[in-house]
Amino acid sequence: MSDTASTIRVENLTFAYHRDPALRDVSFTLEQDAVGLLGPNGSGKTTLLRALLGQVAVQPGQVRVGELDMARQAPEGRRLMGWMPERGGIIPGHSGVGLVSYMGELSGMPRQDAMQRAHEVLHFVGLKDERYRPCDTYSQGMRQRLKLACALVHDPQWLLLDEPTSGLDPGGRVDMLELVNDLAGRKGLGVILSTHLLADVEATCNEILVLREGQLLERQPVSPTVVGGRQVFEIAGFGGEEAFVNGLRDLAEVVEQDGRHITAVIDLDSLPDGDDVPMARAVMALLELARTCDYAPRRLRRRPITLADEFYSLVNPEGV
Amino acid sequence: MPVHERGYTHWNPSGARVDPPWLVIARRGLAAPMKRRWPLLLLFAAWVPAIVKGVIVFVRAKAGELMDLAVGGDWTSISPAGFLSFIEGQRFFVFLVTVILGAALVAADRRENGLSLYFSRPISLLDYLGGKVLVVMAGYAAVTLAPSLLLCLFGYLVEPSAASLDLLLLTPLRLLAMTAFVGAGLSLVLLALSSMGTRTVLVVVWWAVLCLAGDAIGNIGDGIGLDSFQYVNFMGHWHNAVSLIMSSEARLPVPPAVSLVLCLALMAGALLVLRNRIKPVEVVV
Repeated sequence: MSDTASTIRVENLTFAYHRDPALRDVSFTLEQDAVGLLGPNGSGKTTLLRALLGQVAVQPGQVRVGELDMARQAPEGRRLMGWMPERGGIIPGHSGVGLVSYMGELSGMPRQDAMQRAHEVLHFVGLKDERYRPCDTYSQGMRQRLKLACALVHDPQWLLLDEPTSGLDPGGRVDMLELVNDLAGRKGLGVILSTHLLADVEATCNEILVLREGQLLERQPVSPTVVGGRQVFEIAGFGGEEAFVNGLRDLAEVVEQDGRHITAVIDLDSLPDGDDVPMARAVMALLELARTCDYAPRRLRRRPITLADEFYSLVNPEGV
Repeated sequence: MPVHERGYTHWNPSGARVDPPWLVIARRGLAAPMKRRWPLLLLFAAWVPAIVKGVIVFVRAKAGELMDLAVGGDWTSISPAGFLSFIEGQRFFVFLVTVILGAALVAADRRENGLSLYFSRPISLLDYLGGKVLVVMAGYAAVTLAPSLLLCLFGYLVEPSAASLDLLLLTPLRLLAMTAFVGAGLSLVLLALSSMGTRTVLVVVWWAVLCLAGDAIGNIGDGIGLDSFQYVNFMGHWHNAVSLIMSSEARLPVPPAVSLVLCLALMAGALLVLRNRIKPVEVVV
């Protein structure tokens, strides 16, 4: 398979359910990697995955998987992708191994290959002892594993996972994320993980795409070192809080109040030059502002900006 | 290395023959109900009338005119019209077998978000529909075509002659054409009903209304001298339409051509419903 076969290219993708726009002018290119698709409920994540599979007719716009145009060559493109839906996705009346081999055959595998491969992937996802049981009797955790096995059976280049940890207990969630990590990290599969759980993305992905109201807001690597000099300061105190908050808005990118403390995101690179290190200059600037506003801080805490801060600031730009 | 120690491995294709998706879907659709005992018992029961007819054919061949006096009528005949009568007589078994095989075929997929799973694979709507239609058609053929063909062969073996050679040539072709038309039509209508909701029990009720209640209303109309009641005889129209193929007199007091048009309209309507209903969208339950 050539390198280009593992690239997903989306250009000006627009789609609406009846008149409700679900995706608006979305464009990106993905190399085979672990990518998190983040967004609040209803932001268009699942619709985007469906568009990648060629399940919805996108117009205007184009989705290409490798050299295949999914509007015209969806069946060929789907051979390269494994899909794990969030809801349902289990066809009753089959055993675990029966369902996985069925999906393999539908993906274009010979009957014997599909059966052999079904056993292998069920071993891999940890369902080897339960594979002959009717799949409608599976627990939620087992169903999620079974769906992952169905997605893997035809050895796709890309895995599209829609909320794979949905409904799992903490242990099951860790197991599922380890499987995804193994597939993306060591086995070289491309993974697109759609979720609203930031921790899942942080645990498995190298890059995130953030969607809100059908628009692609941001694309960035998942790494604390690449978020620039932005730092989060949590301040609690008493006195002229209102004046302090107003003054903070000139200093910080984002200012929020939750009743207990004030949270400010300050870009250290944007502070005026000085002799001190940027962090010290930021603290001094905050203390100076507090002094001029008659605000007496009793607690000042700093932490690096996290993916959660980035995400919430993107999907909720109004702040306070 | 044992499979449990290998972890995830890539697939190494064997190069064996790949079955087309519609065949895979049909095979799985038939295999699932056949794992249970009572559908098999039902199939066996559906063959009892064929065995009875076989015995009559045998006795008639040996006892001649005496037997005709004892059990007259089309049903015992091995002419094309006789086979149509036989298949008409199978309609209760047709109802049971088709509803067992077909009622849940699309409804369950919609209920379990299975359509999304199917259409994440390299298959088309035609593959999906073709496979599902074949499941119901196979059930229909198992209780109509298969016993009829065997009776054709049996009839020829019991009384081989130049006159009965038709039983090996033309009659099977007529039966095949009839089964293809009626089987495909009934399958499409049943699948359309199945695709309209997610509850199998509703499909069963509607199918019973169409197949059994329509027949009953038509018969009541006959009883009180109102032929127009036969217009709601759903199963009757299919048999009336194929009376042309089977060289038989009309089965309803409705011209066969009218029945044919009604059946074709039903098939077109069913296809339209299926095209609109079978989409890879999730159903929130």
